Amino acid sequence: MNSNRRFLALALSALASAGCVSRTSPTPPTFQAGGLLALSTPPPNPYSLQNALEGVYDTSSLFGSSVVVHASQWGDLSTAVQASVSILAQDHDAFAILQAGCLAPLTLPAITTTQLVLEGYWRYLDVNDPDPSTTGLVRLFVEPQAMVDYVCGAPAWNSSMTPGDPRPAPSQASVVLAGSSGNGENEPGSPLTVNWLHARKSRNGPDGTPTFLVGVHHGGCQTTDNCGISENTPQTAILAAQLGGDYLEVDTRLTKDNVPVFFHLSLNPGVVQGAYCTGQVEDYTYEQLLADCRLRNGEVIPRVVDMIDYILARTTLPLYLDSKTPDVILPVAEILTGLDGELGLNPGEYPDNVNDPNNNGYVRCSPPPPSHPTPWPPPGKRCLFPGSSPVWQRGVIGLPDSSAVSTYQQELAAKQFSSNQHCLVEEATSDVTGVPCVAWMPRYTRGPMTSDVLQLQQGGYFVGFWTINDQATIDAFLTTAVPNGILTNYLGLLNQRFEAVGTAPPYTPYRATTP
Amino acid sequence: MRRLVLALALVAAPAVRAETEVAAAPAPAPEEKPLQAWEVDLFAGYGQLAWPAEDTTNVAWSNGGPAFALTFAYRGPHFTHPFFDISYVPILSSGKSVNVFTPGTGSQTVFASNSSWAWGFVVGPGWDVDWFRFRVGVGIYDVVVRTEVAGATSTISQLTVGFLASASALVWRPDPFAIGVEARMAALQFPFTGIYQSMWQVGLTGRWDFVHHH
Repeated sequence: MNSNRRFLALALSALASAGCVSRTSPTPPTFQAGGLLALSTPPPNPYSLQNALEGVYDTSSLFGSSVVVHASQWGDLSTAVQASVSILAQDHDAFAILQAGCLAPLTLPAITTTQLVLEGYWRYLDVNDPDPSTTGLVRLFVEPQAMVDYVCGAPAWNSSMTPGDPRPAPSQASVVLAGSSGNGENEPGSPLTVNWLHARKSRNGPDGTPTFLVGVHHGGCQTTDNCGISENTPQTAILAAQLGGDYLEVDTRLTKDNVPVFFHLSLNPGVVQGAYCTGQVEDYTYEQLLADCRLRNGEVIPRVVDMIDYILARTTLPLYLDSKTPDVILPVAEILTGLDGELGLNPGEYPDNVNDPNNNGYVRCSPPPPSHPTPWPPPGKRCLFPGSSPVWQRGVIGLPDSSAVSTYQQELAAKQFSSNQHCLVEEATSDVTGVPCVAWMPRYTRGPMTSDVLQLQQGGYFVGFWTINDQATIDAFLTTAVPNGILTNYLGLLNQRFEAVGTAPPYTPYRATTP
Repeated sequence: MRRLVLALALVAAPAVRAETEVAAAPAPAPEEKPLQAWEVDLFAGYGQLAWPAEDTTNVAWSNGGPAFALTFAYRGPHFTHPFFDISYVPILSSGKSVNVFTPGTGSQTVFASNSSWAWGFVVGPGWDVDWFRFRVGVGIYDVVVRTEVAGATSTISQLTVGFLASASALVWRPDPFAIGVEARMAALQFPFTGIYQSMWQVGLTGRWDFVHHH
């Protein structure tokens, strides 16, 4: 009997300690008091970093060899366009996201000349729950001085100017990022050196337009990867841009009161908080979702109109809007139409938003469209992020199955869409040309399907695959299918593998063409 | 998950040991047969959400609710007895003000009135130790959420895996009945994730051996 009681006690204690899921996520480490960036000023031109630092590098520790250094621009036009520098690696699916700051001489006693400092955090994404052994802080200083002076001495850029830095950068051959990394919130102390190897590979086709794009599955990071930002949120678009994403796949659903929102599957405790948050998005009105549910990192489930609005103004990312139910297709198309302030600019386009004073959609300002009326932007219109394509090229409705295709065709026949509405098909290639849509995005488990890929690419269609997360399969598809894009959860890995084995297809897909 | 497997293995072990011991022991005389009984138990009490702690920001009121359970069990010659438990588990009821942004109307404050409860269907082993009774089990819980926000009401139900642990003290045992106090914990686990919600209940319990013989 005594042994039975011991078993009983052990069983009860084991049950009591069975694993519990945390419904909140850890946040990335940050420097105390803002680090050296708090003492610095941002580079005068956020695009200078692209000329100065982008390339393939070797690292002395932490990230392995042949890592990609990627510069990105993002932010709110009403404040300032910001720049980030990221290190994207294959080892551990690692990345580092760093912000740049120019330190003037004598900011600190040790600083005698202007210095360019990069500060941020690193993360191994092959571990879902980050701890101090898989995430920490990074501080790097840019060398040589000629490159520092190029970035920190650049003429100031503002959003009325064409995006970019027209000045040629000094030779990158001697660029070194030297500094240290740390673990967790500890000050960086382990030496880290990042040495230039060679320039990044071109992703452009023969006519100079991009023909290979890195696709972002639900956002820069899956909610379950605990990057501090939940998937399918506006903020994750910024993360995606920082991590080298070129287009964003996000999921649309319709609430009980017909409000289109972004959300993937069910209200699973792994991705949402709230004692009353269970079931499906479709079970709730939008107000009920706001009252009862928060995403894992505390965000609200975003409305489609709010999130697209945010992304159009803060990044250049196109959006692949995956329709999780057919009834969300038309409401999302109507939102895209309302946000496109350039509709009507070219003959045959409808509705005529460009001349509608009540429309406050987005137009290209930096640079403006090749031909446009004056004044530009028209009264009431808002400016897209510098370098952006027009809204109609940035919002593509995804049709994941035959019922979605059928619904889209019915709405198209009833002229419910704007003249420029685009769609993407996941299943039959015949639907891509039959609807017609502009892109084909099959599941990768169907195989590379090289002849189908080639046939559609030659017709000017975009071909991508979803969703590939391991190196061997990424390599196989990059080398055999040669697609225009791959959706992945690991943007650093895909960027790194493209540099290693990828080739840009020689055919220009739809988004690079102008009407 | 490994800890859960370990727990279930440990729970099963006493039954196996008891079987072995009974098989090895010499056959008792007929008049010395232990009590064998089919019993039905009733539990009534109060309970509410235990973990995770509710976010009390702007919460106007919050409480749990009445809890009930009906259990059938068979007490045989073994130390471990199997049971089947049907329970009504209150999770949480609350009202709070929420600031929401709605299309066309902008930002406004609305009042959300919510309640959540679950129906549980659980099987597992139990143990009687003198006048104490312990039970652990696993089963299906149908979690129901009722929410009312700005006049819109929804009731959602969701099936999840759940666990039950209970401890009772049967302080008064007039044969074939027993009456006592009981504390119960229920934990909900969404498939492929960890436990995400647990609830406690305390109350009175009664046992009736509706079939028993020596």
